[in-house]
Amino acid sequence: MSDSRTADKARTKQLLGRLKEDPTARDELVHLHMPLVEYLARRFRGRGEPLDDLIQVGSVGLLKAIAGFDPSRGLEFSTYATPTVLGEIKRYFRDHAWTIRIPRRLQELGLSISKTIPVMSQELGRPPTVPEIAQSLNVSDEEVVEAMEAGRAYSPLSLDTPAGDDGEDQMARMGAEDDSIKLFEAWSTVKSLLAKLPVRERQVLQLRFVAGKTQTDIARELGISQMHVSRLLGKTLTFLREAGKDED
Amino acid sequence: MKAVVLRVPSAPAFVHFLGAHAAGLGARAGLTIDAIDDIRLAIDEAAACLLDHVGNHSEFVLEIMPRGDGLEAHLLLDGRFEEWPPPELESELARKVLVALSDEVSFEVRGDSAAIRIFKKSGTDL
Repeated sequence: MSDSRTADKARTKQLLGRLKEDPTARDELVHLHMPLVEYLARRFRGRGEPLDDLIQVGSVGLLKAIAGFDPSRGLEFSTYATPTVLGEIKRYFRDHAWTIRIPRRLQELGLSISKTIPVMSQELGRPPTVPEIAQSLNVSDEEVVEAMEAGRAYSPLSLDTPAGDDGEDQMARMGAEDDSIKLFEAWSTVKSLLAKLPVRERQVLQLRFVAGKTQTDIARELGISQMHVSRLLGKTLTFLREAGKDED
Repeated sequence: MKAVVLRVPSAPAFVHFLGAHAAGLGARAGLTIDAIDDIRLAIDEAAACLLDHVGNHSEFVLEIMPRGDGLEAHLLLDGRFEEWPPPELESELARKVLVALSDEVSFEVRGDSAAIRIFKKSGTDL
């Protein structure tokens, strides 16, 4: 075992012993074990959830482990914390189970549809219909509907994403600061909730509901897929409804 | 396509069934993908609006039928309401969203039910 790991173990033991009387001990324990959380979160990369979100969820597991650890049982803290952190991350996926159970054929068809939509929109001068997409990809209408439904289940909106973490370049390019103000004016009843949304979500709302652009236009403007715009709109409107009730 | 009627319990957990059902019918009726998503979101919003103002004591009835170059949806909910639409709805987000997503929207009383009628054009007209 390396000297640093031995030192970490000793420090962990000290901190756990001081938890009740020293409020800073908890913070230091979190800091000391964040590499473990990051390591465990990375094992779930590539499943449709941002790594930062997984680390955040894993941190909750770490806090639970700190609160529930009993040194008298003779376990090492990291041994105890690992299943707690993993459990929290797995629970997160279970709560969004549909995000990781999409059959591969539907994922692949969904990708093909995403690529086809802008091409067909360009050719047709309007967004395509489902039968047109189906014909272009040589699949049935039902398969297109199924893949699009599955695509909507991918990557739910993270309401903990701090506002402004995404699309700063886009914002500067589009002058979205002014546009956000327009959205705030138009939707004054939910002004405080709008401020909690990430920039990208506010941009999509503004473009759809204030500028009156179609989802396909928004997708082109922001450089994302129409299906992504659709997901963002659905999740954001649901958030505004639900959070609005909590505020009442 | 003939008129299709769907009944589900009037609970928040079923709101997305209504939107998904409307989207599925929109796809079969030849709406563009943008129009399909608009009617899905509009039905979600209408259902949430009815739950807020009328309550969740019965069931939703969603009637969808083709009309001209588009799809018409009527979402009904039985419940206790003194006035439909209530005056405060005028300034609520739900109304703004419904107006933005639909080509026509109206708030009607049908028998003992509060209803929201939505019409969405197919979007294939250039």
